[in-house]
Amino acid sequence: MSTVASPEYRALAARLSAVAPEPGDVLRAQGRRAARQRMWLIFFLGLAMGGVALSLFWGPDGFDGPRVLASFHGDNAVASAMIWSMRLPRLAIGALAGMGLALSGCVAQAVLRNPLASPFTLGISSGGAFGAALAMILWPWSAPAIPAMAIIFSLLTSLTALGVTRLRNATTETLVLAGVAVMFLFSALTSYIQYTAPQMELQRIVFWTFGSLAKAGWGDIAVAAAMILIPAPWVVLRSWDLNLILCGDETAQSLGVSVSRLKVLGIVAMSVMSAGAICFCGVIGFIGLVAPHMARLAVGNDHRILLPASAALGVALVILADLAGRILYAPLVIPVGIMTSFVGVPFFFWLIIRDSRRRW
Amino acid sequence: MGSTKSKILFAILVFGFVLNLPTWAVQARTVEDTYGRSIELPDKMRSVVVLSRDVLEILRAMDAINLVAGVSDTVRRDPAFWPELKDAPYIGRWSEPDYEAVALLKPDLVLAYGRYPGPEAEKKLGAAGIALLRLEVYMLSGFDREVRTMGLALGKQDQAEALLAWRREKFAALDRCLEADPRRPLVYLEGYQKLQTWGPGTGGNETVARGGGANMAEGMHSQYGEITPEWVVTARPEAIIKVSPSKERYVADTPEDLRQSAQEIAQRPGWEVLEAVKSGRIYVLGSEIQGGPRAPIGAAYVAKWLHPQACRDIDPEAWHREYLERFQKMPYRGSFAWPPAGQAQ
Amino acid sequence: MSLAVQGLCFSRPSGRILSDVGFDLEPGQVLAVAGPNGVGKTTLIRLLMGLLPPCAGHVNLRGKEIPHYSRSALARLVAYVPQGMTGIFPMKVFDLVLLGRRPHLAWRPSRRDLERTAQALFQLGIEGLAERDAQRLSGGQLQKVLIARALAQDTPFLFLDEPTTSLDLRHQLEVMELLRGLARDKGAGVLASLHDVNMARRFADKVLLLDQGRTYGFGSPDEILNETSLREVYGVEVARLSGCGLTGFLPLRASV
Repeated sequence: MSTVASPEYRALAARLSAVAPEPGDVLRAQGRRAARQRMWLIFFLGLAMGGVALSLFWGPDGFDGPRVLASFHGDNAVASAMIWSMRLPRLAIGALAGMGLALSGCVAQAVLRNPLASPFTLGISSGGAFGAALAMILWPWSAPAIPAMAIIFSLLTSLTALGVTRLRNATTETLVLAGVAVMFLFSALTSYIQYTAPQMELQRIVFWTFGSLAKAGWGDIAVAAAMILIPAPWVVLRSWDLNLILCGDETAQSLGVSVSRLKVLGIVAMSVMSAGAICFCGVIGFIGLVAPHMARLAVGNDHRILLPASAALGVALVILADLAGRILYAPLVIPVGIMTSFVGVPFFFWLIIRDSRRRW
Repeated sequence: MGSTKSKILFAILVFGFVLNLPTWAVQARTVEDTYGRSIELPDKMRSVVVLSRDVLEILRAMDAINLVAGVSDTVRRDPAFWPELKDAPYIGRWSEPDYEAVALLKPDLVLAYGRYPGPEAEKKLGAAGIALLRLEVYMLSGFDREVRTMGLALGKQDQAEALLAWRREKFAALDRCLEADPRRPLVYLEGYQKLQTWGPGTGGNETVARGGGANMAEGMHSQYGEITPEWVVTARPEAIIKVSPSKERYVADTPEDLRQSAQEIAQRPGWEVLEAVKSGRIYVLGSEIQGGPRAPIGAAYVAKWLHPQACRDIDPEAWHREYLERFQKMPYRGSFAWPPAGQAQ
Repeated sequence: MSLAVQGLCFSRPSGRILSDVGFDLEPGQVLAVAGPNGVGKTTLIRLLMGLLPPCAGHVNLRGKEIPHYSRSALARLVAYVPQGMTGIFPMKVFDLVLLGRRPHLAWRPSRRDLERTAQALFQLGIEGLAERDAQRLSGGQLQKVLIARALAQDTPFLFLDEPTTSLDLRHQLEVMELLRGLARDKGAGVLASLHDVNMARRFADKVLLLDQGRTYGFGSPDEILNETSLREVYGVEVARLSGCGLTGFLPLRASV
């Protein structure tokens, strides 16, 4: 028999009322819950894969299974060009962006200990938008300038926010405020650029902020993949530390977590991943906030399951939003950033209503 | 019959005459703006402020450039094309002018686009007693009416008719050559942004139609929008026409950047399977000639590209030279299309 | 094998909080830290945990100074129970207590980790709360959860910051009995800051009485807690009561 069923505990259990659970019950209940959480994770992974498959088989003339299969056989040049050069890059960058933003959102909410935190709380999207706007004005003919400047400035904003807090040994509240201040600064700068820009450039800048999955080539995808898939495993391996930091800095430290190191590296990882997500696609909002929340409603706060679940949900949301944007007013494409708002919000409401007892 | 009757008759006549005096004395003219609203204009036009670039060009075509009292940033950006305005007072952005600067110039009329500046312009200029006339000249369908309105407003009706007659003559020439070739090749029309197409209600769309092409996006849900490259592949257009975003083509002495625009499209990954790319039928049109007053020239390039045999006698460059020299009093220079001189590839 | 503190001081920009605090704690002992509100009990425990830097003095644990321990090594030696938790994220009680196993955990909690967590819940009598959301608990229930987490951590030393403050009479007794049992039977070194001087007197082996940031006295409860010290430190006149082999103090009135 396990130690749990020893006489010591039976005595304790006997002291309590008759409806108290038996020792083994506690572990069984926990085991059932863990199994339920795993089922949700599998469901979300299925949702992501299903979304990708659906989007893969949807072309401008509707469902085009034969064309996709022909492209994999390689004997139809047109089909291959369409699928490999046009559709797959769209799916790849969308999946990477969804994953990067969702993981960043989880890290942001844990490190900043704030359920309203998102990867953009520290100003990353404002910095990226500013960098892209600057590139469009200074080097309008250079294609690589835009993502490069977007990356530089998005990292600059979050590191500035981080740097501000290092000056005074600051709390997470200060970090959030510093991030908001930096965000306003870069938003104002971007607004200034928009105001003084000639009309063509203004249109280009505004469209960038809507998000588009069509502009990334395989080279860009490789860079985005590096920026997202390299920090991602590091983040997942820090799951226990992230669980602990939710309980408070002091508690986490007392249980062996190096809190300041976790925060700094966490913010760097989050910045790199979300910069990778937006610099090739423009701003895709809402995913970094909604995917972790939706995942949390289903699987709870254990980051070992929450992180992969959020990532899967992020992928599903971006891919399905893009698919909907392609279908609704075909051949017109509604920008993915606009669609993610429309797709994310109702889903979120449904989850809250379904289980309204489990509110914050 | 008697002197009493004729006296009464005379009194009635005099009375009627006197009653009509006020309207004669303060006879205000009204014209209709682009929204069909009646705009009251002063009798004499001594000075005008123009916010719309195309309208300014039409003004010059009507010999009324001397009336211009102040210019916006679009003129400042293109000084080579507006030498007579290089010392003109500056009144701010075309979309948001400095109303005080405008009021200081005390113009008789301000000419603006239909939607820009916003409705506050009527209020501010109205408060200063300045008439605001909104005109949209980028569409073929409303062009003649708007130009006649301008002629009426500025007292340049004859010159307005001359411009319209020139355009009618050129469009007639196009219609004639297109009669011989009833095909309407499918065209992918790309706007200033990558993968942005122009649909119904845009000047570019009309120009393509007038040049004997069929715009793929004609049935689209909105005027402008992003499309997927896959759609272009499945639709199989015969030619691709890109409208170049670069302005001030008057001083662009080589078409190198237009050629690069075409090349960028040809090099997009996956686009090599398009017939239009394989046969090199990627054409670039400068934004000045794809709509507005010079629309016939843009349509002429389109006609030559899409119907090289039937419209081989059309010479868009000659038309452009004629337009610039006769209507704009400017020597012909600049590069406005790729391939130049409307050659087919 | 013990905790030794010498000349510990701590100051903030607003002023000095603690000066020249010294005491020691042997394994198998319960040490109660007593003193009025705001005297620095919580600060002291944070200093002992290495969460705050002292301006002078040493904290030696098993012969080594606290700053020389790595965070994870320290986590295997000392468990910390804070006064409360400002958590706003939902977590099940079981998972929260399981977090106490982090110093021993690999990626997957082992059978031993899970059992030790359940055991800790039973020891505190809160096994019925295992599948509840932690943020739904009352103050007292949460306090027990935090203690359970510290127990699950399986450390030779336990530092608790006011562990009985939110508990009712019965649970106060249970928790203090548990802490004394841990010290006696498992040889743990337990340090707890306590409000209730009677609890301190009854359950502690040593008492550290702080007054205005300084050590008023350190020694056995009998020596340190008496009418004089309570008058001088707390400003209260007390009456000594005895019964059933126990001695306690009944507060009478504030002293002038």
